[in-house]
Amino acid sequence: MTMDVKLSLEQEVLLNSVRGILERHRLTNPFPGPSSGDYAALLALRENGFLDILQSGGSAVEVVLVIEAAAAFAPGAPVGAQSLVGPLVTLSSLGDIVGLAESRRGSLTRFACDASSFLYLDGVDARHFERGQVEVAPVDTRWGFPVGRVTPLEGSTAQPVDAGMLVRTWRIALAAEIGGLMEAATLLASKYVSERFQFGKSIGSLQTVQHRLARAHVASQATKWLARRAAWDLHDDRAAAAAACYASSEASGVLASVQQVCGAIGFTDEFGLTRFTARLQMLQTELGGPSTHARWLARSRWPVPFE
Amino acid sequence: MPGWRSIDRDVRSAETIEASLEFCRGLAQQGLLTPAWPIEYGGAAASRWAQIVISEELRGAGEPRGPQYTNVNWIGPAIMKLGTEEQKARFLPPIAAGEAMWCQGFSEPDAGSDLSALRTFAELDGDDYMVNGQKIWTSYASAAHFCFLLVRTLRSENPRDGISILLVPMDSDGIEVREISTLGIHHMLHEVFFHNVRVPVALRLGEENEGWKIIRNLLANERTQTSVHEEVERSLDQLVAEARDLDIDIEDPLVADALGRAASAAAASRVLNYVAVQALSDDSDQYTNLASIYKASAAQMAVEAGRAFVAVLGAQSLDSTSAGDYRMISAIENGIGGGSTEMQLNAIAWQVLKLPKK
Repeated sequence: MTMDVKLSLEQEVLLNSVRGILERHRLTNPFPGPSSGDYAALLALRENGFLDILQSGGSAVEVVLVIEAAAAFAPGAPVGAQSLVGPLVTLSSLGDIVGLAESRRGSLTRFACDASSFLYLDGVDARHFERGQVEVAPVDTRWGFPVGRVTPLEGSTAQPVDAGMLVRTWRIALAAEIGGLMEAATLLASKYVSERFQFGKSIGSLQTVQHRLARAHVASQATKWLARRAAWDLHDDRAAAAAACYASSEASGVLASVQQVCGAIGFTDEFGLTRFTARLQMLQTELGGPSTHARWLARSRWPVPFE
Repeated sequence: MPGWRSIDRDVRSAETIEASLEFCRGLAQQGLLTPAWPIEYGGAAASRWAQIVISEELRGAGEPRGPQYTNVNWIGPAIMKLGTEEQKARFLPPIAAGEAMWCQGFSEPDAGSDLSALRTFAELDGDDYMVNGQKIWTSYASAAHFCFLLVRTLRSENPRDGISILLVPMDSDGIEVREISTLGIHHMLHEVFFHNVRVPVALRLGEENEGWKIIRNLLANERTQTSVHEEVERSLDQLVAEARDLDIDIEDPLVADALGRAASAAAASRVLNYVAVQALSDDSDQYTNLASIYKASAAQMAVEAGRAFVAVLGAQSLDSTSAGDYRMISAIENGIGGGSTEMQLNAIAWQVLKLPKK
């Protein structure tokens, strides 16, 4: 099995199609606020067949490309869970919105209040819950997504699902989403610093600004390619953990850089940078955050020798 | 190879120079040195990927290759592309046979990252150039048979005009090589002085005064084909082995965290390397930008690996018997050699993000 480390013409067309659809969608549908999911954009993708690529015989790499593109143009849409994780973890119908939840203390589940079903990770086990089988407690947060805490109801009998596949695909989708957000944030910040003049020159001509954005670009490209690589072999634990570890480790640095170079305007809703950075802040904590991914990767790569 | 350690990279004495040559001759005899070269020049016309896979295995195993990646990856191909028939006949067979060591005469005391500021001058004198000047940071100069030398052949307002490339035998009269003592790899870095060195015009590669355009593309080739990620990944295996020997619990959360982060940085650099190599194979116009992105990630990977050694082994990582000892040098060296990280970031900012220069 070989993998091309470049996009095929068909994959380029796919990316451009997703971008085009979401750009047109944006003309008549403003970005929803941070406490709402972008379900209208999700619907636009569904109506154009971009959420059932796997069911139509497409590859996980192609789904990852859709997740990347959606992160940039519809960052509040729950694309990864719907198009990659759900179809690969269970054959059951999951409804319009799938929540990805885990039993880890303090963890937050995106789109929890609106989800019709949940894929729930509990240590080395995983189950598929219907909405009526869990309690959802909304949590107020400013970080880009509507979130809640999900607790299975006492006595609920739920269908077991493949926990390994859930963790791997969740990590891949997470990395793809982070990569798309990083790239969008870096491009927006680059445009701004090129047009912002202080002391008689563009601040984008200053090397300290350039280097922060160039490093952010390196992080975004590495994250995207790690996610694509992991999607190419869905059974490769290490590839998925490496993608999530790198993505979540680099997210905070990219966030800090793009916000810093844009100054105070970067905080404003009007400018739009926080559309990406607030979500980076949230996503870097998912599935336990960088340290959890790193420890998983280390244990997978250097298992305790059998004695 | 006597006294060779898998963490060594320098050629420290006449004995190790000969042993390194012997190793490369052996690779050549088995078709493992220049597999991606055309058959007519001693290769097997294999894909660039075949060469990368071989390089990963050998570099990962700590091969005593010395400077012969330079020959194979870009000096040889540059001669194939631009050389005269006489130059091809003279220089390519020894490279393909693993017999030739080359050094690259690029940096000067006042021309480092700003390579176009070079001042070493080659003045035409009959059928020869008379070369005078100084190069610095020249790796392997004391062992090299030839130097891929950048010289100025025309004084011009635009410093990028008037640069030419000469293929100089290192045993030419008037060349003086002085070793530079460093923190890192002894006997590897040098100053090279040129005092009225006669170089036949027939040894100029490409058109006179057109060297800058050539070298700009060649430098990118230097950055992507040495499989440093494999060396780093395997050094992490060595780190785990050393930790286990010291009864350090690698399941400890802090230890596992450091290992995992270093492994993920190596995975990131590996995939970016593959993306760049793919672009090189495809002759893509994006190659030089992708090479810069990879090079920046490789420097970060080296730093993360160094951090992991310190986090896991502590002071033991600085013992010269530890793989960590060389990792610490590599963490510094990787951000400087082959084009500094800052130069790569400049290129990404200007060429990819289109940020203004002024």
